Amino acid sequence: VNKQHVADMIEEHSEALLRGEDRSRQLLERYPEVSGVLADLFSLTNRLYDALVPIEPSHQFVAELKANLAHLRASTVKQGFQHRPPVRTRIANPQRTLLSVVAGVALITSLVGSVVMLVALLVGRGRRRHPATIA
Amino acid sequence: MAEQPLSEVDENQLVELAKSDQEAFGELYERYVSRIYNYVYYRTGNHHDAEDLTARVFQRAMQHIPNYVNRGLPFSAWLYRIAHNLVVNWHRDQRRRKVVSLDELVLTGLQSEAPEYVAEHREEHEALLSAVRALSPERQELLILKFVERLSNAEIGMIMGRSEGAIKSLYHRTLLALRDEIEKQQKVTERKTHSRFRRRS
Repeated sequence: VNKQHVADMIEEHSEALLRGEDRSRQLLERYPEVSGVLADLFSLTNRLYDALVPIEPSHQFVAELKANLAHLRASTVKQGFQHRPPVRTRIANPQRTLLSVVAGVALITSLVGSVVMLVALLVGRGRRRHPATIA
Repeated sequence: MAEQPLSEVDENQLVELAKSDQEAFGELYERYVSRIYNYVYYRTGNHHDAEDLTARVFQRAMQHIPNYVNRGLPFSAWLYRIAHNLVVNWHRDQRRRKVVSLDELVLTGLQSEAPEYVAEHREEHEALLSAVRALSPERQELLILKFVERLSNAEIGMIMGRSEGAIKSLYHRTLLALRDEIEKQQKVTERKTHSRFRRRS
């Protein structure tokens, strides 16, 4: 019996438990060589099944929240926020995209220009200090 | 032909309607409010925060539903994602404040039982739920979806973005981790009891 088999048996036990059946005895009898490990995990599953029970929110809470949501939506529509284009649409606007590309190109050009000017300035200084070496 | 009542409308159609129609959103809310509440409740451990976070989940859902795109997953997967993100933020805030009470959580589900039963099982439930909450968020999510929501591995896989097989092995690893966590917590409790006893004597 490998790890996969153990996982399969745990799954089988849990599925049965959630359907309201207890198959632990049959499974333990089927694989006695791992019955110790399985018995532990089956018992843990049973405890989880007992502890994690579905609960209902209070009717008052459910009703109030529904009314609040309706009110919120109504006031949002009133203010016209609902018709505001979503963020993704605004980014996808072609004019905006073109503007971003132009700004990006301008930024890169100015950076390259600055670097070229700086290099030219440094080379010029070097020539003035060591004319013989350069010649 | 008479118009179909919203309660009978198929989920995908209802979601499309809910993008512009509050009544359709209300129907979606009715279908999922209990499930989201359960999910949040077991991740936070108290009714007050569960109500607060459930309200925020639906407010956020209502705000973003016009941008919702159906990618073939159930609508609940989207709601659970919103709930998960809000719960993670809530835990981050709680860690800063360091206020977590399990009392209310432990008593839920036991209230209808006899007082002796409550007393007897209270400690056991407390230990188990505290160990569950010490697991990673992903493992807690799996246990809640499996036991509270009673979803199949295929459904859990869709919500968590994993295959059915991956969920099965994650469940196995989760049980092993939970067993280790319970043992670890038992040892800590025993050590505390022992040192208290030594101090007294």
